[in-house]
Amino acid sequence: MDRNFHIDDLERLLREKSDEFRMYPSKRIWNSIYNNIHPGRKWPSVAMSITLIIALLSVGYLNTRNANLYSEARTYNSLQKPSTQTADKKFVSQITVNDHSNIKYIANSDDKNETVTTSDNDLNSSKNAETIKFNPGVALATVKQHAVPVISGNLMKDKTFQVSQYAIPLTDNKLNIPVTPGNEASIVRGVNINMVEIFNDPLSKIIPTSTDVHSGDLINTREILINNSIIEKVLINDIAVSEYMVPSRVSHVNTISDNINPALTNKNFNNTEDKEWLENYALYNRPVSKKWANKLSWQMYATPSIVYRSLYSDPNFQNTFNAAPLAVSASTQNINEVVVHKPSIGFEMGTGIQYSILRGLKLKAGLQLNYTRYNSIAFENSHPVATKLTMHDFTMNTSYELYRTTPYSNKSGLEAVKLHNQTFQVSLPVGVDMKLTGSERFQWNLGVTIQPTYVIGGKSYLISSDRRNYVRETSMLNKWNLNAGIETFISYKVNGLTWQVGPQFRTQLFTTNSRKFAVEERLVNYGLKVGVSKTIK
Amino acid sequence: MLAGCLTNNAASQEALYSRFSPRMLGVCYRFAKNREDAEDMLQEGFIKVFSQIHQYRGEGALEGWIRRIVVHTCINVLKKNKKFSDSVDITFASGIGIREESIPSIMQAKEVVECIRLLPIGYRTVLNLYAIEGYSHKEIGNMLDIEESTSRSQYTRAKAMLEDVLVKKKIILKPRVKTPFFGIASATK
Repeated sequence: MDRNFHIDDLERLLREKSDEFRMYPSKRIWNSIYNNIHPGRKWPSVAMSITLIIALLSVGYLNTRNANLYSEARTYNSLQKPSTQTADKKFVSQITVNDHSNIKYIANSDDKNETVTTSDNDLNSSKNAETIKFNPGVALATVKQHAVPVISGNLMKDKTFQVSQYAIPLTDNKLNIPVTPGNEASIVRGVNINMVEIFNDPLSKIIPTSTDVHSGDLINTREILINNSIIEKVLINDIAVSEYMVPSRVSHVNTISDNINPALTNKNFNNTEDKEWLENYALYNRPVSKKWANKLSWQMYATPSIVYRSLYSDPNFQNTFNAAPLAVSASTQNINEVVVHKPSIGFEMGTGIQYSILRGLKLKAGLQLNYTRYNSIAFENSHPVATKLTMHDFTMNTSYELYRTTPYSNKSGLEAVKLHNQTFQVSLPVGVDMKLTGSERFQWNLGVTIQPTYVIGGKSYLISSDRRNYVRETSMLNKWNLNAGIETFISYKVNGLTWQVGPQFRTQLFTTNSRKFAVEERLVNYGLKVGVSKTIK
Repeated sequence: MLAGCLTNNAASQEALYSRFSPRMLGVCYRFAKNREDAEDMLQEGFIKVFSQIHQYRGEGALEGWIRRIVVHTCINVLKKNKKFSDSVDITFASGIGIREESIPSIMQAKEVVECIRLLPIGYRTVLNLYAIEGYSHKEIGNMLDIEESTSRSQYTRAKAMLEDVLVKKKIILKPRVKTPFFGIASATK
């Protein structure tokens, strides 16, 4: 087209040139149009993936928080009486000694203002209750220590006594709680005798309890040697250890001694009101199971892999009329035939959370570190040569070239070298695992994930416009990318751990380097994934 | 492709979009302030095209029908955004560089379009509608809510301004001037 148009041809010029003029819209325009005319078919996006991750984490946090609240409530309930129970607990204790001679026994009453008549003021003291928590199985123990005179003054010499400890139920006269045969298993306590003040031989021992202990059961027996001492008092630690701190009346106590406190007598608890109260208490204080128990599991895994690369000439580049002639001709070649590249090792390592939403279907999310590498076979020259990289300007819809120097040739040179193209990445894989077949212990599963990925760093060698050279241009690496993975694995559960092994295929959805570069690159990983997971209870 | 669009088939719609969007974006670009505005106009235009595709009766070319919808969309956007007050000093035209291209005709087309875009928006719109899109001054008056005479005067001024720009950028030559004595026409740049 010459430039010798005259003004009288202006309107014709304008029409002709305007008709020739083309501009290529960005892809987001079609996406917006599509979403507008098909509102029900919006495409998933990275934002949806992130929303899913946030939702999974919120579910885990809320369930954990609720479980803690429940366990706290349970502990609280264990500490408190259901209706009129106070923090103080009164215990009835009894000591039996098989040598009855010259020893009298005194069993404490359940009176709140209990006192023991003696000239020794210390005997009236009692220590504050202590609360001891036990590990799973036993919820709570409270300890109340008080002193009880034992001997009426006779000298004991070289005498060995056998001290036995029996389980006897809790007593609280004010509540009138019946203890019927059968529910004794829920009322457990132990008795401990601490004689440290007299014999300097602490016998303090927390007696392990279980729901199988019934009133009157022998808990423990110790032999005590008394040598030239007068036993004036015994410090008793009454320890109540129970799942349910249900106060009750003493129903019956097995004793060896004849000297028994008249307070420890049989009473009848079989009235309806007491029974109903007990049932209500059991209902409101039953243990609350965690909602997410056995549904949430934590996983760790590693995947060694082989990384392959595929190259594609940018389709937009082909449609651009403004491409430089040399680059246009080069772009018509199949680029994968022009370069020599070899797969190399890759590695993925990660951890994650799995949540079982249905039987055989789990949602999973986690954090993963990736390393990818492939090798380009090139030749290194002794001196760098000038070369060009073809770039695409989407704003102006034109192509232009970047001028660079490089010592690496794709065709020939002094010596062959391997150029390591590698990236270090962080991913947030989100996906599902589905059980295909199998039992609770041994299964065959299928898993898919979508992995938003951030490229921390790496090395990138780009092929030049004429395909003759390689240019190292790490600044072209795309910082953000998206990968998709599919895997199948066999899992085996043993000793509370679930082991899995199986092949995995991972593909990169967007080009490794900037979209401006005229050649697109996709990475594909084939690996073997090995992992272990543990259910969180 | 048209039948598929009538049944709301996504593949047909995408094919129609791919076929006509480059030229239509060029149309929008002549009206818009920048590429982003042009793409917005294009998006809005094609949404209207797909929603009104059933109104196309087959009279005339499909491209012409789409083009009219796109042009009307551009005008509506400009009126809505009240862009007509924007103006660009024409003396800056020579300072705007355009990248050298290797294919002259397309390059020149882009240059011509860029020169059109240098005009004040009011002049540019009337010029686009009259000289390129082929609307009459009366139709232009109705579209822009101006008098027909105003449209004529705007076009005259736009044309003069554009000629000046094109001459300065050496895209066109000034008309030959006949000397009264020798009768020889000489062209001046």
